[in-house]
Amino acid sequence: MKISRNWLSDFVDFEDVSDERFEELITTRVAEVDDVHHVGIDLSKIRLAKVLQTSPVPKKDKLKKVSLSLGDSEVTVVCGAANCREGLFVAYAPPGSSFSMQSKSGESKRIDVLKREVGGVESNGLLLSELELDIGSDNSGILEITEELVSKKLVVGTALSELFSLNDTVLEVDNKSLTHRPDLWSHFGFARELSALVGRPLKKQIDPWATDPSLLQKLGSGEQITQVSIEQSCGCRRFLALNFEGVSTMPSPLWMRNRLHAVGAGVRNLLVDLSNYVMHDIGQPNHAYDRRLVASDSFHVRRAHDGEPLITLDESELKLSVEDIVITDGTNPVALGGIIGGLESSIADDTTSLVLESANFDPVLVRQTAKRHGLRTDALNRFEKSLSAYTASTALFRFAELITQIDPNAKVVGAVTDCFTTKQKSVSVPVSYQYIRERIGAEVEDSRIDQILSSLGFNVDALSKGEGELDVPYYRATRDVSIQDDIVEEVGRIFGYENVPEVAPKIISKASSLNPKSQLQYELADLLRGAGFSEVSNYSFMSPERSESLGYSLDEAIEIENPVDSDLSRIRTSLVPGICLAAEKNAKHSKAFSLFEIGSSYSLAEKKNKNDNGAKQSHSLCLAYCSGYSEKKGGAALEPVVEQGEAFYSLASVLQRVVSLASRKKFSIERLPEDSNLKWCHPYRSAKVSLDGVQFGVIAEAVKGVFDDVSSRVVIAEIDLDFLLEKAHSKVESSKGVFTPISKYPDSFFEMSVVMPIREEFSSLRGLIEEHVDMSLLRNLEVVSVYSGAPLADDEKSVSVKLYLGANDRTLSGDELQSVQDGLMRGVDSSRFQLRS
Amino acid sequence: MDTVSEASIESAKKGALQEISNLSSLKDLELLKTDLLGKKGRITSMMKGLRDVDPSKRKDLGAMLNVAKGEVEQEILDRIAVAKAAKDKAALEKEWIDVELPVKAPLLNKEVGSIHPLTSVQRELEQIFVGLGFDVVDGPEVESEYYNFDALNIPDEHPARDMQDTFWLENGSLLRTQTSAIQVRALEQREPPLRIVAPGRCFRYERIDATHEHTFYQMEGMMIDRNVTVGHLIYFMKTLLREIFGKEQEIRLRPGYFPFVEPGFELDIWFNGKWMELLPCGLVHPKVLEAGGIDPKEWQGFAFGLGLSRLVMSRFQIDDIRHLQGCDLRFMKQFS
Repeated sequence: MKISRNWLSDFVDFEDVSDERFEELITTRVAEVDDVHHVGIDLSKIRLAKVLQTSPVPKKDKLKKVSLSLGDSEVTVVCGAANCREGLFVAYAPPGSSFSMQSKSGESKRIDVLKREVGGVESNGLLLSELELDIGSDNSGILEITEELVSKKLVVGTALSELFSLNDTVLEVDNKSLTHRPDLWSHFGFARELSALVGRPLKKQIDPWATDPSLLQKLGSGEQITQVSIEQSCGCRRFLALNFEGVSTMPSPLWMRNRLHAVGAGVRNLLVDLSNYVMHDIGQPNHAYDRRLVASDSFHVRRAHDGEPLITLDESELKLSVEDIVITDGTNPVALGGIIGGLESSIADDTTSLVLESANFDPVLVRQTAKRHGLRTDALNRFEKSLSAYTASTALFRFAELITQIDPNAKVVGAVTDCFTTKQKSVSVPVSYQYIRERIGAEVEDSRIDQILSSLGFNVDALSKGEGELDVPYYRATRDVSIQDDIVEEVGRIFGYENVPEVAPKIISKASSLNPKSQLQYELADLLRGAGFSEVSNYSFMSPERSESLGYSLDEAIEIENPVDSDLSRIRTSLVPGICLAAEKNAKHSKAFSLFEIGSSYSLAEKKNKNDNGAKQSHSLCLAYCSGYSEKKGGAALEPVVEQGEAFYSLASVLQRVVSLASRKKFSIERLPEDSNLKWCHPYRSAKVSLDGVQFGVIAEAVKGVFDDVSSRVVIAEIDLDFLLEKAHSKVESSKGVFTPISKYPDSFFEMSVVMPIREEFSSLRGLIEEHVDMSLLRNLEVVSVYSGAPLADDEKSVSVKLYLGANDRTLSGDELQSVQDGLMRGVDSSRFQLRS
Repeated sequence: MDTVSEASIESAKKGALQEISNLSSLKDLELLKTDLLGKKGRITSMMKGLRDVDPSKRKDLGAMLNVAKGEVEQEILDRIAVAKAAKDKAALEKEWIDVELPVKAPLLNKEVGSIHPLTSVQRELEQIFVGLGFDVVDGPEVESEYYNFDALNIPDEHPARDMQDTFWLENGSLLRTQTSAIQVRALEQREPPLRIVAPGRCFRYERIDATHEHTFYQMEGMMIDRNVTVGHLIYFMKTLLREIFGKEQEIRLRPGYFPFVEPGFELDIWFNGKWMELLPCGLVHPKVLEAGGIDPKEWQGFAFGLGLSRLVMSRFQIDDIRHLQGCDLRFMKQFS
């Protein structure tokens, strides 16, 4: 919302406060200021001139050569305005001055005036419009200056700054920071605050108009002209109407146009502008109807009928619902209550008689109506914040006061009609000044608190020694101020938080902790970083098509009702789809990459109670590895050397290190069935990862077709961190006080090669070894090499293993070793496999 | 060629289906497809042969031939698909590896990797807060309307809901718009006095550009104790900023409206010659304490919300917020 400094000066004297201080006061005591801007160009350089003569410019239809008198001299300019004519007094901008130009987005910038040639005619400056002077929003022609306009005698050559003072400073206040303050949506509202801030009384008060019913009786006279009825509990709390006669749709005076321009409101004619002006002035939305179009001089406020049509002022056609409040002329809707007027009954060019409406509506209902119809208006902005119903009467007073000042023919007729069906409750809050001091943490004296609260309109009369019931002023009593802590804020902000000393609290010291999840995540990240992996962060969303094509069912994937993009319309159930995207992205510029992500995924779950989020959360680690070189080349660096699947084995090895952070045990890795649902997995290069018999992850090479442009093989793994965290917890538990003495006796080893079917997993050989070797003696089992090719048959391979044997209490004798070895040999002989000599 | 008749169509169809069923290799099937349905294919020529048929029968025979052609075409395409799948599978099968083989790999990469700047800044802050006696806690990103709004004194239809454009979910839940959603969860789970911080991902329904993201990070902080004052809040905030920036920082509190604190503030920091908005904070609203089952007469507290994304961006002078979720190694590698 925009606040004009000149406008505020109607209510408070603060000429001595600099613009900077003014902004600082509002920012630090009231609300956030987004921007400060200045209205009006430098008028001291613009001069009053009189048009002596105009003549056409050759070959330029719309341009005129204009001779001007500046009193002591004459100049020639070229002007394109249709209203430029002989005898007119105009605003002349000589070369060296500047004017304002508005961009399409509404921002104004200053442009230098230059001497130039137009159509062969030398133009020594410009004649300016209201908008170019930046004192109003009219740009239909040049400003026509008359004695009435400026209330001064016109002397050509005078600087315009001598004629009027329309330069202004405007604060743009962040609307969000006024969400709780319906009273601050006007200049008078800010003036009340400013009066408290600079410690000066208001020059003009409007509160009695709101609180003193006898004044309302005096505003009109005779019989009420307009009858008003309100359907019970329809959501309209108060409806006032007052008639005016002898009005006309003349242009608004320059000062009013100037102020409306300053706050960014458009102008039309006196009646429309005045209604708008009053809202910006005292904060009460109001609506002027042409009396001719209000049938039988009566209003009835009710809920709309289902599907009832209404064409609004901005010419949109609404189909109303039974939840909408409408103002009707007894039969047909003429306005949507609290939001916008109807087109039909609005002010016309020939309006001479009007009915002014000022009303109050239920904030929740108007908000819902606006949402339903996609509307956002100045009136809604105020009503949805819970504007006081008392404020409604002030609009009538202010409108009447201004229109009779501006237009001597306009007059109030009849008495005010006031249908006040839902009275506003008065609010008082129990307070203790001691509590206020304790919350702020500063020694604010009783007298200072008294003074702060009084300056903000609170009534402290009922308090004794800083204790008791504090009366809240009507304009703050609708929702904003309701408990003592609200009063703490009032006192605190006016007292000034810069005056609150920084104090270390007295607290019980205790050792605090990272949560175990963060701890594990950090250890993982460090380990992976060391292994050359870079952390990425994907969105929590996933594309339904992509996820399904990777084999992730959408059954449990939570759908977003209002996604930013249809590709981001589900909550991810796995980190794999995201890391695939990341892999694709990076493959465009990196041949090799190693990525990891730690994050949450979610699936749909029953709501355990009404406050439950209805989602099962899991934390996962996801890894993607692409070596960027061919399989064989990389395979040579591995132990045992492998011919195929280098990337797979490499990532599995990293995964083993990751798991070792949480468990002393090695994880077991087991082939994923070929018909697994995970379509992204290579059917012959994918495995599930388990610990203690529980699967907690998967590792697989991405099958051809998952990636469009990635030429090298990409291996991806995802594991459940919640599971790992549990294991980590028991690792800590189990390691308490356990230490195995280091064996004093050396280990022995022997090697053995076994020929087995080429497509058989190593685990069957491991099983055989475990069956035939005394496991208490087996320290370690290593695969030394895997070989296939001549002289072996095509469907055979030879696996060489090395067994390390030892005991804690002795060195194993040659006989013992031989017997273990013999036992194993016999076992192999009697199995499907053969020993290779 | 024979004239097209019902019998010839039927027999051509039968013959073709028989031939298809005899073949299984992809190559043979492709050849047969051309032989039957190609430009000069057998069935294609029958279509052409319709021209020589008695005009009175042409329509019926044409329809019959079309059906037969469709059947043959469908059958051969199905068989081709099966053959292709078998071929692909055979190719994949050649790539069989023993996934269960224990293989030791040396360190994969010659270069060190990197940790996301959000993670490292979050970690740094967590350590500062742990030092100040705060526990680090965690809450869900998928949140109920209750914890994100109602429990925070933002009832339905309150205009304050407009301050945060929300992603709504099919089950009536939402993506949390602020880490403040953790406040009442923490109050329910813990006994006062308490001090917690809760870092995490938040979401607002917003179009993305260089300065706007629908996904961003915050760190919520809350202290509940007896006799907590605004002065205590100032103390903790100044201490925090001293730790982050390594020296004393000039700050100011100004009024800010957040329904779950009263009074509520925006904390500004004096940075490069002007005030910069850094974090919203305030004293915990009594209604929030009550929602968490805590008696506001006995306990009070303060809460604050640090914008982690914003902090990361200013710390590293990142000009485009989209980098944070961009997963681009050229960005990430700068943080190794």
